[in-house]
Amino acid sequence: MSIISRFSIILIILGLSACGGGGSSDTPTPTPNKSTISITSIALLAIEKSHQFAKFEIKRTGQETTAAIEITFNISENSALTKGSTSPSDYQLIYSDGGQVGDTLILKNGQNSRVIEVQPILDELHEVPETLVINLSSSEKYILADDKSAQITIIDAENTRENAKVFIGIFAPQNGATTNGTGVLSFILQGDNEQGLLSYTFSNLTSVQTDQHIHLSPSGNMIKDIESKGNITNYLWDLAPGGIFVTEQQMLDALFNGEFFLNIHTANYSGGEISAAFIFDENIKPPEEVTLSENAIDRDIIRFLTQATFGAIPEDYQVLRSQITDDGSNRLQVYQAWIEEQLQVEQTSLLALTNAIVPHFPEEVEVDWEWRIRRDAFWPIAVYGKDQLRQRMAFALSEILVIGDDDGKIRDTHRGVAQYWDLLAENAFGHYNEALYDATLHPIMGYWLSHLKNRKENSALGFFPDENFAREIMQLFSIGLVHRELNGTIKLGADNLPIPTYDNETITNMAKVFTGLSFSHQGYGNTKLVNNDFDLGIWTYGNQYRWTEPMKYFAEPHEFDQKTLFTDNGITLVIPEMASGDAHDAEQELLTVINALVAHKSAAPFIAKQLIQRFVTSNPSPEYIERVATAFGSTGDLNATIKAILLDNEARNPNAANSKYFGKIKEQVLQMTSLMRLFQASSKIPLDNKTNGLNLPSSLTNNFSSAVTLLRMGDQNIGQRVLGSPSVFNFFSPDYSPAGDLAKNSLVSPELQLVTESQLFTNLNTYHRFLSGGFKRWKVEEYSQYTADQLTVRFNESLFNNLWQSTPGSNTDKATAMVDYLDFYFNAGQLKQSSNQVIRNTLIAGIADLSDNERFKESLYIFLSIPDLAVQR
Amino acid sequence: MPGSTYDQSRRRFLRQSSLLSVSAGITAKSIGALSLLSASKTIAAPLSDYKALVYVFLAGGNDAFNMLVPKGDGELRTSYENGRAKVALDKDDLHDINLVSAANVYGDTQYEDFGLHPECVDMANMFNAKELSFICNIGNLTAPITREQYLNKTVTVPPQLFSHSDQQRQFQSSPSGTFQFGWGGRMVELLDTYNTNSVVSPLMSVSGLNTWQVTRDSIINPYVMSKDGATPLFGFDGIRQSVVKDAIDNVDDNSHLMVQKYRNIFNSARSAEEIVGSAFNIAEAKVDYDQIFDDAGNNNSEISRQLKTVAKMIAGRESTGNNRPVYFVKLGGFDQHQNLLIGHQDQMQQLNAALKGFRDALVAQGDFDNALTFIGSEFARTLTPNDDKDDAGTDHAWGGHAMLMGGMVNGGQLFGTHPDLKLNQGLDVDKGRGRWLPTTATTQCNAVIAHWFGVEKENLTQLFPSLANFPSSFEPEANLDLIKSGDLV
Repeated sequence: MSIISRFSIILIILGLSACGGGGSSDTPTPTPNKSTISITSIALLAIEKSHQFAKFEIKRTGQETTAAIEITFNISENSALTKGSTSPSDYQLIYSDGGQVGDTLILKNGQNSRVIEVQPILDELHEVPETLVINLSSSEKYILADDKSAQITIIDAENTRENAKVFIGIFAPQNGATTNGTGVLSFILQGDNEQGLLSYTFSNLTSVQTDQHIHLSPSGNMIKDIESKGNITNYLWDLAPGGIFVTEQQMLDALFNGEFFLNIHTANYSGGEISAAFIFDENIKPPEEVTLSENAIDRDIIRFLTQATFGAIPEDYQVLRSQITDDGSNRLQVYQAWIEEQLQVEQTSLLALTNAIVPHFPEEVEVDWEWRIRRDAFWPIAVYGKDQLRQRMAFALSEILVIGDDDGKIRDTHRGVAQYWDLLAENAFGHYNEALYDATLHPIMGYWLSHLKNRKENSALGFFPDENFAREIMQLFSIGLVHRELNGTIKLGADNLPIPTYDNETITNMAKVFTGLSFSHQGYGNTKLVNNDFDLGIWTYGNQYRWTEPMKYFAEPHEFDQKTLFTDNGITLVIPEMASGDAHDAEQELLTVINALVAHKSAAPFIAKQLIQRFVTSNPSPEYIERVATAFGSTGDLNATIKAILLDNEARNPNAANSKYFGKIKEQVLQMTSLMRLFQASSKIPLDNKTNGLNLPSSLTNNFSSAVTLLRMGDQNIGQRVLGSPSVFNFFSPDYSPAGDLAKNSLVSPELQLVTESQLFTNLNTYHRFLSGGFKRWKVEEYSQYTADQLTVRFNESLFNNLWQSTPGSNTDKATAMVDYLDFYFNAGQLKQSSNQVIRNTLIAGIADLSDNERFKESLYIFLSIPDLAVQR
Repeated sequence: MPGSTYDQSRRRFLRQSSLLSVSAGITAKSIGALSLLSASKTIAAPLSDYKALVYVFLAGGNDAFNMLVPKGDGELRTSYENGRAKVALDKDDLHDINLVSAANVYGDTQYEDFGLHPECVDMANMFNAKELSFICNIGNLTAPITREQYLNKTVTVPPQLFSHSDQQRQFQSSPSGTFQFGWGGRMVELLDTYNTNSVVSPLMSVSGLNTWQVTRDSIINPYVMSKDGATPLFGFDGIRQSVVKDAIDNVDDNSHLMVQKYRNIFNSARSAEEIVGSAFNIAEAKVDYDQIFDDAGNNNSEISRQLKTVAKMIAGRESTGNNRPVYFVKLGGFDQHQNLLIGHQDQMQQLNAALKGFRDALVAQGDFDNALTFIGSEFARTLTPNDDKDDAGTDHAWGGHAMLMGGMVNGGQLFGTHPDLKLNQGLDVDKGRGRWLPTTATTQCNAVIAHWFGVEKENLTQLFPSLANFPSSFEPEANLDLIKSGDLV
């Protein structure tokens, strides 16, 4: 969000002293005939362009006489020497009641206070904010109060979009360098000239970037160092003096004189390979800021909640709405604050919840069905958990770092699986390289991709390290198959073909990295013991400690040979041979490899795009991908990434409502949770100590909203189940492009891969059943003390019916309210704001005709089946 | 975002990214407008000259060298045992098969003593009844290649060998980096004159969307049904039905593209529901499918259910109006990086029972001469295991064995060339793991099938661009005389 676009007047004075003293010095005792004179600033800002005045006020107190009095004063400069100060030609001092100020400040006969305006004089000069300080001088005729000095600031213009000044630069070879490097630069200086936003992109350098600065031309004197490499977006530059300059005004003058250039230093050209001069172009304006109508704000809030939670609900909507101003101008800050809050909410543990529920179903335990409890435990977390954003990220990560519990062994290792999910959730706002490291060492992943107990080569006996994980960690979990630019586009080699990131040699070498891993612990009764047996069996009984603790390296079966791995930007990662390595060395090796994979130039765009696809839209623009990939960086900063994804203009642009391709098909798990959230799906078994409750410890139940109940949903066939992917390729491919107009327009829609004719009808049948009689896991009551009725998960139809009853008017009026309510929460009001009202009217007419006892069921079914609601925009 | 420059770059991006189908057998692109066949005609004109192609894909890399296994005392058996080590199958456990003629083995030798996996008793019987044949050492290949050429990289090989997603895609389309269409989808487009009375897509899948059925022009779209047939929509009546139908009918060209696509799928599902229902009625009136598949050993496995549905659709073809339909069937779970012996046993049991059931059903319907079944996998697995333990597995390899089954097949033969199974030489590309350079390209075999199905010989290179790099499949040199003469077109 651009600073320039704010309409509010910002008090940008640095070092502004507080008006009004601290009261720590003695107040002079008024003597009978002398007044005490003070001066304060009552309007701090004067603006040349809009002819806004700053104002001082002089006052006298404690006098016996109100005769006219002259007050001597002097003007001093900004105490901060680098900052600007006014000169006499910048302003006039005029009394607000008339007359120009002369050598003294005069209170007329009978006046106890007087306002002096600082009227700025509009000039053609570009000036930094200039401070004017008036100091009252002492005199025999009066006593000076503590407030004897005041300051105001004069600026050229306010910080509006109109007043911003745009500097453009085009990158070209510097000093005759031989390079095809190009790029563009912009610097948007805000109206008051205090600071601006620098952005630039460049590509095609001959060698790796080593540094980047702003320099003075022609001397080359360095003015400013820029810390980050690569493309920069909206970097704040405050024009603090650098190089030969000592004041900001000098900087400003040089800037407007075209004396600054920015250059990119590279390995081949240490003095700079490409450079771009900052040239002011008064014809260019910064991009438009969209202002929102009230309805548009409402819709955006729902869109945000749909992107960031498991489904928009009135409670969350109202909290956000109440904080956002009428013109929506602070909505990004409000969303950001919401995200910050979510970052602090305690994580809800799937393992803890599973473990807490298990003792309540001993009959299931007897037949080794704890995994059913684990699968069902997802639903309370998604539907009622407070850490919504964290769990959404865990879900998104689980669709990249995929494990699937369809496999019998994994299914049975339910604690390991639950703990895997928790690990993803723990890393949700941390770093992707840590998430990848944790996933790599997780025994479930080790089993799933067969690097558990993987041994180094034994050519005599004819076996070789398993290559499964080595391949997938590159292909799916980090760098992808081909080299990409930061914006996700595929790089072409000299032969005009994409460049593979690895070949089979690489895989064979990578496989060696993942040798020697096995269980670090096992259980003995309830005790967790360290494991030292590399060949420990893959049993899943008891506490499953071997599955909930990370794998560790065993030195003997690990391959310590040299490993020539993948290449990034011309540099190949080679792990040197270690003659006598130990487990710790192997671990270091793994760390090096993981860090290098995530730092690989292709990793950020590859992962960033998929994360955008899981939260916001299937077809992000290359620029959006680049912004998110930049936030992702070389370590996979997920905190910065999720903010970049959700707060980006592309995610927040209200024009999404009119787009034919922005957004994504709702994946079925999210469709289901949003329905359950809006209508508070519940059983009759609360988690806490309410009647019939499980009485779980409050340390656990505090993580949920108070309406939370047990949700033994069972494995409903909606084509998708968290942690239930049939293969490591997840339920759908990021590149799936359905036949027809989508493919014709080169658009992908991964979630549509799940929507075949048979699955579509299966999903609708599932919702039909849910709406008709509720859900529960098949026969769960036969293995439980609870009845089917208690266990069945049903919707709170009264929420719906109350809205119907309380809406005044005819059935059509009520139906309208219902349709708009469902449209609002499920669909961000898409139907209501559409220029084509036919569908909305059809729905209203249809729902108005329903009888009382079918109204809820039919209305919801209709909403779940019409195509318009299949898409999240 | 909108604007032609963006579109261009997006299109280019997608064309390249179509390399990157990351999910097993999933389509990546097609061009052109979609049209939906309405259900207004439910009875089609009588069918003549009917042929069905059933494509059974074994996903994950079937360990073919434990499916078809050398027996006896010859060098081939010795090489097998040496390579396979812990995962070798005992020759006494195998089911003997009687070859019509000895198999060609790489190195210009021959071998006659083979057996099938212990679970494959019915497949062995079918082989011996000349109803089934193998095509040996078949795999994705762009041009013939020797080991030296491979190691020195002097001949191009298909990209991303050993990657499931890429090899599955190439197996079902063509061995190139740029995806254009699946060969099943394109073939049906070329033969559209046979399907003029079509009321439902001649591209049918009982196992989801797949690369094989992706068309070039997107006018025909595959119809995906569940393994048990069309999924009916429950409780779809009254106001619910009228409102939803209205909403669907009101989706227009201005609607979001994903909304339009969703609408298309809904309509397709509705119309096909009726058609499949009537096909099943026709089929079940004549044959007891459950009994047949039960007798075959497994009525309920994923693959049995799929093949049962396919059999019924073939029997009830009147209601579809398709003269040349293709069916996609898939069985997963072949990626045995560990526990090969146990895992593969399970898979072979399922496959065997399903093929037996399917064969018996087709015979009962009178369709065994009409319906050709192809069974293949994207690659085989390393001859050598990755471990010396009991739970050893094998890794991704290359050339493997495919199968053909049907009345029109020259059964009882091992076509192509069988590898000599010697490590670190000859056909082995990779430091002695036992990954064989294919001696028959997938496309060479596919060409024979496509020709039988109705594609003229001169049009085969449209379907398989790289075919021209190989000796003709129809000459003796290729050893691909798969179809009985008189049954070709």
